[in-house]
Amino acid sequence: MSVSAKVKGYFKTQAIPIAVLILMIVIASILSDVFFTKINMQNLLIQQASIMVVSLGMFTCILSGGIDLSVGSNLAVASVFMASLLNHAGFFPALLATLLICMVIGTVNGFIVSALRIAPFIVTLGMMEFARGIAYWYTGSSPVSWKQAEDAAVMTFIGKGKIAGIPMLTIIMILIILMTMFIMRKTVIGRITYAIGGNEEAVKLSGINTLFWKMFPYIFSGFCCAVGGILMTARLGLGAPTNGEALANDCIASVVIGGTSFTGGKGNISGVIIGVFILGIINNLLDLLNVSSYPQMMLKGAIIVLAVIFSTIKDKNA
Amino acid sequence: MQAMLEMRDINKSFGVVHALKDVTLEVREGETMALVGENGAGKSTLMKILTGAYQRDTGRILLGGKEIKKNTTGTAKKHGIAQVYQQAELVEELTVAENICLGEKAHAPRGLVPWKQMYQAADELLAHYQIPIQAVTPVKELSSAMKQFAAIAKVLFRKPKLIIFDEPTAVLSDSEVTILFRIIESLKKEHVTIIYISHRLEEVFQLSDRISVMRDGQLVAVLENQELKKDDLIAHMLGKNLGAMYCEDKGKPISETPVLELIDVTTDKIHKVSFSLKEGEILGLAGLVGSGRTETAMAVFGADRIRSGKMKVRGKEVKFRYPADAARAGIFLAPEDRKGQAMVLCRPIRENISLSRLKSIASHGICDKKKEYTRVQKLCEDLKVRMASIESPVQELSGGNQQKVVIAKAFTADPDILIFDEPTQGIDVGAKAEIYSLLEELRKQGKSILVISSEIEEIQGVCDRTIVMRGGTVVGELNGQELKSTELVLQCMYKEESR
Repeated sequence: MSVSAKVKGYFKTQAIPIAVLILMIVIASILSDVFFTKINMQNLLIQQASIMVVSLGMFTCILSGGIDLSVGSNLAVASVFMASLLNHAGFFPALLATLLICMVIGTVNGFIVSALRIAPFIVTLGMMEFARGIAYWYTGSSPVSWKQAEDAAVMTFIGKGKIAGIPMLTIIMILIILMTMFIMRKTVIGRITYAIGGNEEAVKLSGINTLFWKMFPYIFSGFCCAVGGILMTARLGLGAPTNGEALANDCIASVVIGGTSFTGGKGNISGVIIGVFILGIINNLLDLLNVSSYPQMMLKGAIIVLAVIFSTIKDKNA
Repeated sequence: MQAMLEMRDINKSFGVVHALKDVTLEVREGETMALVGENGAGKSTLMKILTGAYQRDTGRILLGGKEIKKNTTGTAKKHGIAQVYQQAELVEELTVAENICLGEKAHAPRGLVPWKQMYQAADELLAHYQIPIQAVTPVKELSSAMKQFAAIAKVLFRKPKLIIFDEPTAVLSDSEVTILFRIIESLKKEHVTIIYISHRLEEVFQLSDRISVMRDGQLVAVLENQELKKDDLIAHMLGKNLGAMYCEDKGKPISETPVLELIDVTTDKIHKVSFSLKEGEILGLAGLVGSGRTETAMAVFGADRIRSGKMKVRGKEVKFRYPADAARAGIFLAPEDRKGQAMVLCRPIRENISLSRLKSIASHGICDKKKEYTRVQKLCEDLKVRMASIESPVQELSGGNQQKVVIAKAFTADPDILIFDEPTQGIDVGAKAEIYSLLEELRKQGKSILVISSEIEEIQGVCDRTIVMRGGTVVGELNGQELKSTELVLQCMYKEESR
């Protein structure tokens, strides 16, 4: 296929999300003259870092025909453990331990979904409650500051630092995006994840060990929660067990707005990126216009449903 | 006789594919019109336009001389056009009667269900057409053949004027086909107009008054059934004379060494199944639907748990816990349910073909797209897969081309032992002949093949030897001369029933 045909095909599949994103940008720049300032743009980018990273994990789960409702709680676990471990150990041990804890949570999700064949919705709903409990219990429900830690400088650099004028948060976000793109597009893991979402039975009968591969999205989602949690902890200066309360909703919304099929098998990462920014711009704009957060919630809810309606209509006509 | 249905100059395109070109179809009141043609000839598309599932680009539809301007599934239904689908669309949890009456407002006045009348009406209908199912049976308890009859009953309940049968015999065994034919005969007596789509030409000859032949999106001939010869019809379908459908230069088993041996294999569904497959052999596994053929394949492939008995591959005892184990041991399965089990419909042809052995295109877990493109492109050309490009999702392909994709998967997997479960189900003659020669091609490469089929002719034409199954166990083995006698095969398959 030629490059131009590829580009054309891409715009065809992503037409609605791209149109909505452009529309949002236009509306935002008309309604607020602050929107296009450098500071606001930078804020927008920084604010999306955590949601973006966690949405990528959510994307792999939805793509495989599942879902991960526990992302918000898992992020809170990452947040409190990172902050507290930083006070006792160096940056790297804390980082590794946090990644490990979150990926264990993801593995438990994946194992129950895959080996025991329990619906992902139920499994991760339970884990959402369980992991939130861990975060509160571990901290005694109060936030943990890491400002006094030995390696606080590294964390500060991640949260506030810049390289060549680009915030570290954004750089890490981009790195995770590239990594996910590589896994989903170039590797066997990605290929199998797409195929499992399309027809698990056919993948199994093609001689592929679906039992093992079906766990991958949940483990990866755990990894993304760890990274997202660390980014959020770095930005806020403390680890709070309340972090990520409504995160699962935002991530699911972003993935779905980006055109990923809720039944699995179809979708791509650029759609997720667009979805995250559509939601981000709405939040940002309403903040700039001093609208209270309640109408923001109403608007977000409406947009999620509208996105699904549009994508369903599109699927039917295709 | 007056034309009951006229479809005039129908055109329909999907993207670059011109699926229907100026098709004109006329069906007379009360006649049975057979519609034949290769896969992708446009039969299903034409019927979907008639039932309103697709919208035509240009052309007119006249019903009883009156034009239907905008045809939707709703209006088609109102005009008395109904279709019996290949895959029965029924609610599994409900009973036969509930399914039959489902969606009929007349049977739920004021939103309440009159249970007694509903069962009575369903009973009457089933008795009238001599359909051997009970109104009170939940659909999930029916065999796939009987589900098909429940679906037919559902259509008949609405008293349609025109019924489309699309491959109704695909899931039926020979005795069940008789039941279907009886239903169609009584419909004919009631002057119901019928459009009958089938790849089985014997049926077409037996049932139809006239035969319309489609080829490459065009209607190329309308033939009177009387005095028509099978070869002539096939020539019309292909646009050329077809040589022998089965390979002339059939190969032979390479040696007497068994590559696959089953010794008293028992699962929850089959009982003490024993047979062996020799190196380079094409072995048939004949039997009716539900005789345990598919279940045997599933047991060999590690999808069903083996309770007792032994299985040997190349003399070594094996125990497969998952299909992945069987694949590693060099076994490939092309499952019976092509759409549900053999392919990922929403993904491209390319990805489906590579799925059976990702190692062939990847090193250290990273896919080499360039290598994959050239491999898959060549394979598709060799197998003559008709498609827009290897990037099209497989759901856009016709049945025969989908089956070729499954065979391409087999070539990719490069196994020693292949199991094909109903390899030509719902496939036209042209594609069938191609698939048979591909089986021979695989044999030439030294592979051993197990072919499961309910078409006796197919088993006779393709296999060196056949195992016959009935009631979940092996009841006979026929080879060479014995296999040539259709009667003998039939006897073996039906013995229990004819007693």
